[in-house]
Amino acid sequence: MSAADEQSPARDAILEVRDLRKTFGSGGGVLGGNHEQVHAVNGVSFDVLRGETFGLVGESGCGKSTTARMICRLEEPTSGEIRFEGTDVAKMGRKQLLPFRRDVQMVFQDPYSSLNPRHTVGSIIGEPFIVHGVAKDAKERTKRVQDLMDLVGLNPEHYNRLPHEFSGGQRQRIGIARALALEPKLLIADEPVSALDVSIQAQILNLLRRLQRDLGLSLLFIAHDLSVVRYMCDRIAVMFAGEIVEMADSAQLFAAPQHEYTQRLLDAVPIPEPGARKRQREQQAEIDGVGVAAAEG
Amino acid sequence: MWARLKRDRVAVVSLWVVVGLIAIAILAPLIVKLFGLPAPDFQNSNAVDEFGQPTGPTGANPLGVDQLGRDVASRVIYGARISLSVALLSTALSVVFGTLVGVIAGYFRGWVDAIVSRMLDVLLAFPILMLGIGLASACSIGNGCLGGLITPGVPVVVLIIAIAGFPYIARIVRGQVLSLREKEFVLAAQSIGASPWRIMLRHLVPNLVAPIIVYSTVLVPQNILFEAALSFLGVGVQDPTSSWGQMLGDASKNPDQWWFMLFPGLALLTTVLAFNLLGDGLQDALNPRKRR
Repeated sequence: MSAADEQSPARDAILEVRDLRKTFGSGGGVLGGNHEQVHAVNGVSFDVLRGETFGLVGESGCGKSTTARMICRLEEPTSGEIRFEGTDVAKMGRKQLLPFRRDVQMVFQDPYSSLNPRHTVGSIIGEPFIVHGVAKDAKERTKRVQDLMDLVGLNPEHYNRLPHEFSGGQRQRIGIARALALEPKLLIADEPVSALDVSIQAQILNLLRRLQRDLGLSLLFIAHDLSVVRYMCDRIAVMFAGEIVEMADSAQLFAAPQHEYTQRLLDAVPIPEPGARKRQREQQAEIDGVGVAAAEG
Repeated sequence: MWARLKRDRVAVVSLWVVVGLIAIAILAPLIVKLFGLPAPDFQNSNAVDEFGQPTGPTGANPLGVDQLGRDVASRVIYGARISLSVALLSTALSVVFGTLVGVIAGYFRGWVDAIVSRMLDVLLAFPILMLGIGLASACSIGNGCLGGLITPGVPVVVLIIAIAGFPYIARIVRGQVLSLREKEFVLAAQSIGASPWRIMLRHLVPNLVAPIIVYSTVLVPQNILFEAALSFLGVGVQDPTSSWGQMLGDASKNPDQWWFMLFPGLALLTTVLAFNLLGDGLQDALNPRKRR
């Protein structure tokens, strides 16, 4: 993939990330101390196109979540540029930030800590309305919150319940409803299913896919599980140690992984068929054998 | 929480004692009238013996009288008013101010936290009784301090005790906030665009209620004792308002008249013990890891 291809204006990018870096480390403090630094995100560039689902995969600690938080401006980048609809996110003042927050929303990883345990579902989902001064009338707010609950597959009558009365999957639905309240253009899902049971994961993934299609969302989907990403995404970037090592269309990436790390990741995915792995290895050996024979012959 | 507190017998008894004490404090004039006791500041020169010494328990004065001929029983009952109101008021002030300071320091971190925490360290390092005596003397001259806002007597005592107590609350709250602010619901609120004030008041403070309740119940008996100590030293509540500490202080000058020292002492002991045991019980009831 060339740089020209990446930046061609023909593709309608909602989000452009250029050479993003984030360095954590002790600033040294007053007494000097050691200046050990960790490059959590080390020069990451990618685009998210309007209406697509873009996947960011990598093992834990590779900088995926930090990238997501920088895009949402929950953390300041050390350097680099994030442009949302052409506007530099880092340079937004208070006045521009509020509309930006409307347009970019996040679904968090852990549905157990991302909901305030002391707030009812109604006030959790309704909070964006209060903060942004939308639906000021309490009755109207209740109505819109209940519509949202219905949209994500929750019983609107559970409006007054507390988060601890819900299961993990239901809690994640609450988190999704909250993120959708302000009708965002870009939704960032930071490992939205990794804390859930496998049986529940599919339900949440299907919900996200349905919402993405119906609401015309652009989705930045972050995960460490390749099979999940494959199911969800149009394009995928593979991250390793703070850098993107490979970026390709979903089908292409899985058919012909270019980078060694991607290949290792793919090899680590279990194949749900007894003996399949062994057969694959034998086939590979056969091809290699033919190759060797051909070379010798 | 309530159900678990009810299983703790000691805590239930302490709760009743505390409720009883509060009732006595509120109904003091009624109780005194009911038992036909003289008013707490009524000086009966006939009750003092011919050498001007206080006399022991009699029919008219069941717990004896002090050196001015004032009824000890009546003064002990009225003393509950001062003890409890000073302790509860100063605890409330400490909690409000300590929570505010602690939440701000913990939420903003960085240099805000550094400045606030160092100031708290300075306050904690102060010999607080000395500070109290100094402040009390300074505020007891003329119209009081802060432009007449803090007048001598009870307001000064409340202020001193609140100043002494709030750094502890602030520290505990700060620590809790430092861990709470890392939870994803705070990030979620930030990504919605909620202001720092909204996050602090609507998201953080409601999650701090349990530790604050527990610490306040420990602070109340401490503050009762502190008020008694200040009054004992003569810089707290002033005559003719009666306070247990001040009665003990007077009694220490007449060690032969046992009734004069015993009854306010007993009242103080009961109150402090009840609040402490109630605090213990609440702590157990609010701590989910300690199941019996």
